[in-house]
Amino acid sequence: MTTQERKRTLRSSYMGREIFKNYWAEAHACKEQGRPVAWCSGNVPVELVHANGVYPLYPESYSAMIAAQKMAREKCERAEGWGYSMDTCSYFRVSLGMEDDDPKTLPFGGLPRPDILITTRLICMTQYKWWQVLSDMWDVPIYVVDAPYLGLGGQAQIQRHQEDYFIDQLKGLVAFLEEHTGKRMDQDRFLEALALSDRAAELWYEIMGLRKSRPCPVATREMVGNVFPLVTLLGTRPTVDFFQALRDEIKEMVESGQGAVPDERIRLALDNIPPWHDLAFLSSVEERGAIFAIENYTCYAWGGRIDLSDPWRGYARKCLDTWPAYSIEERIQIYIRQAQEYHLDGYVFHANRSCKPLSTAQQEMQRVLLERVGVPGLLLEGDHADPRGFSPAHAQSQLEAFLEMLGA
Amino acid sequence: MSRSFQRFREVVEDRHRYAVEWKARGGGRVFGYMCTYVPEEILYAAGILPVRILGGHEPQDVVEPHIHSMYCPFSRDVLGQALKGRYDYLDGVTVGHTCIHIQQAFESWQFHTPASFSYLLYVPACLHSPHARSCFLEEVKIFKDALEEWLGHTIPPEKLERATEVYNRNRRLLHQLYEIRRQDDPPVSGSMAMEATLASMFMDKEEHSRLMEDALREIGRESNGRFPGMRLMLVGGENDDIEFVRLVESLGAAVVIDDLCTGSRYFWQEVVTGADPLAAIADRYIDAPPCPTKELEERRRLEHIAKLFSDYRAQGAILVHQKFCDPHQIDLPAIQAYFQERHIPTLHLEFDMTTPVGQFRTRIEAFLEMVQLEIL
Repeated sequence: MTTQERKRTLRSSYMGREIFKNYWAEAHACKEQGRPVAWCSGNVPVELVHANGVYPLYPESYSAMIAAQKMAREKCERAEGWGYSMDTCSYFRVSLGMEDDDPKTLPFGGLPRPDILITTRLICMTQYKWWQVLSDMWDVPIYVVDAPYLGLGGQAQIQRHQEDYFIDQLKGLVAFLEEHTGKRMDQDRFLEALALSDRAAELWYEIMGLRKSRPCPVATREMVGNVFPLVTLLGTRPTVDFFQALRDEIKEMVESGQGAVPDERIRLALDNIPPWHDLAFLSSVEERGAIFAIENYTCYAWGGRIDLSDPWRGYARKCLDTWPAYSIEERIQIYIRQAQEYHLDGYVFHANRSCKPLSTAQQEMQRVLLERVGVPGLLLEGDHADPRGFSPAHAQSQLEAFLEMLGA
Repeated sequence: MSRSFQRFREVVEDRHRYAVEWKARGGGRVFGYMCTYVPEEILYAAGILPVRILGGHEPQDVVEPHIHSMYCPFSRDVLGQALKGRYDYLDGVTVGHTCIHIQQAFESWQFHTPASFSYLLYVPACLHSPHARSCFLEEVKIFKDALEEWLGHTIPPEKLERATEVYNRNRRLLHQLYEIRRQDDPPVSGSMAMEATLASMFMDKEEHSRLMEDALREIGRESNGRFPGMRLMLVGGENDDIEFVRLVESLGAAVVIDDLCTGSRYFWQEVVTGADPLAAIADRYIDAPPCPTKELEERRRLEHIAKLFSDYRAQGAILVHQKFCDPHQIDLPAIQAYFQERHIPTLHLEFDMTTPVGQFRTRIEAFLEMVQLEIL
């Protein structure tokens, strides 16, 4: 079965699928109607983009889809032919490698060209170097939302001047957006976007909490698809509606004791972005009564609660609080709690060549989790989009050996 | 080779001994720092010797359980040296935030062999942002506060001013040394200049400046009298591989200028003194020629490289960076395109800390032949 045809556990996941399809299709409609389109990198404060009536498009998500459709390799090779090293992020190479493609050969007719470019330093450094390349290539205006690196955890908290700096960056983004729409941002629309974002996060956290149940109602493979609106459509009504339906259905399953995997015996967590080109790898464990019950990619990368009583500060804090901003010790502490709350038997660490911010300190976490709470981890080398960075046969045999060790 | 240059070489080769002896002499404290964004003037003003943590270049097998092999060899080498106890004499370790590679090296260092004072200083990435200066100044103030608390005394403004003078003087002297390389027949080779610059990162700046003054006098007297060969520029990131520069220069070329964080970028910008000594120091790091991680929109770096290339009348460029260094890797095609449009030959080499540079010989020879054809 292909990624698209696979049967989902939850009815509401099909609602997510519709949102996903409409999202790409609408981008072209916007372009035709003359509504500005912005290419945004992951973790750009997207609520502001929506509140200003600009359509945010995420090339990284598009690259992930290209990988899931097994089309990534040729795109990567093309970008490498233009001088971009194979060591750089494969989202970047896939996206660049589509430059000369006939849009008709691409899913959803490709990505429309942006009117503006928005990126951030919040989570990684490839993004802003990538956007610089795009800005050069197309001569399109660019705005970078700078963000302090925080190393949060223990005594390290977000400091007032760091929040202030970030708020200035957010307000700079508003000015940039207003310049390109020719309209002032509607404050009510901004506040509404924040409220919708906060509500989406509240529902999302509830969903994540429900996955602590035994058996686990829904597995990683399905949830890394369902997280899509949390990345791209925060601050909009359909996201809230979708998460509400998802929450209701999952809650019902938990209350009636239904699990995604019959006879669940082993519970795993995935660390890092999944290998989009081989999602079947994640569900392969289910044949042995194992399930990926949780993953940091959906819990700590996107979304977050916002203190609406102090909108700008609350918004800044939400944006700054993200996995790549956590110190090694903080990541370890989170996983220790997670291992206990989610009744985990093991961790699978995807050592992702293409995402260094999420691969940082994986060995430290693997070792300390075993030492402090006795939860073993498997380290698998791979790549989130470039299939050449991942050896399925080797990974599968490592995973099977790991499951055997866990008693599956 | 003159005595001063000999001393530079000794210090570079035996940097740990220098630091340990310095400590023994005056009982001062020694701090290691990574990258070029830690305002060293503040440490110096506190009576601390700041030493840059650079490559150990020795094969090691201790980092595999801590840092992936997809991280740059330099960051792995840095962590390896800490785990092997090479830097046990340090009282503090600091880094000015740049890339994820060095960030992990620093954090794992802190995690396994914590120094008495350990500090990651945030440096804005959008240096051109109207708010970057005030944000960085605040970061620098907090860093200074933390340092003062650890020291148990304050660092008065006069000491900051004095440290600034010491640092600016050293920067001017290194500039003078570079200036000499503009000549048709530069009496100072690229490897000598590199040794002098690297030594400055390890030595007490006043001592280094005294040696620099001697060195500049000595250079004035002697001419190496050899055909300088092709004039080359080195462009890239962390590269403290003197052997590599020696190899290039032994094959009929002279490295006359560089844009490396281990070369000109380290000292190019002076502190422009003003009413607030701390703000003046902080501003210097915002205005210095940027690392690719500090360049997000317009290509200031390219402009700077182009100016140096033309001022020093280079004829070709070798583009070097550490393997896996994504910021440099992504900048590379833009830099290559710039040179290509001007018919300037370039050679691109990826470095590993323990690969013998000799393996580059054939490629460099072929490149030099090409440069020769281009300029004839």
